[in-house]
Amino acid sequence: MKKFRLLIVFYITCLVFCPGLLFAESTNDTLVQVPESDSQIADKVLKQASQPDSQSVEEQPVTPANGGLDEFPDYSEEDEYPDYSESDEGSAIISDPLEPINRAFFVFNDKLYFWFLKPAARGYSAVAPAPVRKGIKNFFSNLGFPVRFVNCLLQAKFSAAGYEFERFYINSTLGLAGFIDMADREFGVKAVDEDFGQTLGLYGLGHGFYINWPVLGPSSALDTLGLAGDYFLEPAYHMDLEFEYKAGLKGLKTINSTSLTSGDYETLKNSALDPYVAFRDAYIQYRQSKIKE
Amino acid sequence: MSLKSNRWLILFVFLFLAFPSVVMAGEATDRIKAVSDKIFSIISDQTLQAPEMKVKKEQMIMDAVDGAFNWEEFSRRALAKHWSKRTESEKKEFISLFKQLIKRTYMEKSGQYSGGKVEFLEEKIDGEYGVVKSQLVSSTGTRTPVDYRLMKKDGAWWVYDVYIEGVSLVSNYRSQFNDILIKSSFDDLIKRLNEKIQKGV
Repeated sequence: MKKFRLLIVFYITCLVFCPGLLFAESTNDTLVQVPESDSQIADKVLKQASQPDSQSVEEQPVTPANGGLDEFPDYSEEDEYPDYSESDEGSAIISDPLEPINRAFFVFNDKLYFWFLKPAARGYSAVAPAPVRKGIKNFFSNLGFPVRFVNCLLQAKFSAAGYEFERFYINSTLGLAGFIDMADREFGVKAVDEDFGQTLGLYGLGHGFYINWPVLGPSSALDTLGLAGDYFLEPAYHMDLEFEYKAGLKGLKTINSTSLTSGDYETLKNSALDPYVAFRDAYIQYRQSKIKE
Repeated sequence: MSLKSNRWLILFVFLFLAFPSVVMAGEATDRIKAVSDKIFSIISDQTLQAPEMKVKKEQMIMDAVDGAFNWEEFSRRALAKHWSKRTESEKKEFISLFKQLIKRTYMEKSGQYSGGKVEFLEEKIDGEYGVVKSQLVSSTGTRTPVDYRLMKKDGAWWVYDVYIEGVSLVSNYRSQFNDILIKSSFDDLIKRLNEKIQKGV
């Protein structure tokens, strides 16, 4: 019972401090970008704190990673069809000097998916029912807390960092070591997806060029750097485990998440005229939208 | 105190932090909502579940989508700078093929979401352009953010792009079409579109 009282005290503390933090953030300059969901939450909290002068932070246009643009000097799309959204995020072009190698690894990864990962995920689904798999996904997601929390702080998203902390606190206790996403289910506090690649992107680093890693899949020079940075924040890095166990954990995580998202890969692949280009573009667009959040 | 009353207390305290989802409504949202309601009613219609009804069911979904999607705008944006170089008949042919390709994808996705639901989150209007943010919640609880880009034409809102998880459908095709058109020709693009549609899923 003490735990519950502690929790109440904790919430009251949040209640007192959060509006202050949120307000401080909304007055920050445009460098600080509040994620969409976060700013919605911020708006609502601010309204409750009877400060109706909240305003959504202005969206900053994404500068498309260069490369290819000078190839098309007659690109007149924007003049012909003026559209605020189009100029913001319409073109996510990335240079691809490694295309031949990337394409080879795309074929390799595709085979890996259809010959190994998909059957493994299917067999695994047969053994583990969906709620168990969901629980395992939540568990791994909870372990990703340090990465998200630190990157929230690095991006000066203090309220998001607060929500992440709350989530970790609630899920690690009430959520039974992270297996149940209590924070979302009972309290509607959703995960904030931040990583070092996004942090560097927000700091103004471009994607550089596209890299399609074997096994790991689509990435960019920027995100590869980000992945390396985040590696040191992962609990697995700090655990005194044999390589085999770490690889096993990583494998379980991958198979588990594949079993839950089965079908997405096939959908994009089947709808594409050139799957390689489709995945490259989708990856860069996805990452750009994440940085913008 | 019992565990249960404690839980309620926590929930009560948390109410100040928990935010009721505000139902956004507007012309653009209504437009999307009408289509998605129609599609969900078609998917969940028991009389259309039989295999021999498949063609009819797909046609019904296609008609529903047609009611709110501006295919010419989709095509124009997907071809971008290559659009103006095409003749009228080439444009017509392209629109028809591109439409079939997108519909197929859309249909496949809608099949996955039987038993799920759509939540409308936000609507932003800026003059003649608008964004409707929604999320698809599958029966297993997986959320997929889907944003619709709309433009006002002849007094009605028309969808000209769909963003799934932040990825624009039109931009994604634009990069593929551009790649093909630079390396090859428009005829080759048409040929590949035809092959893709013929091949089916």
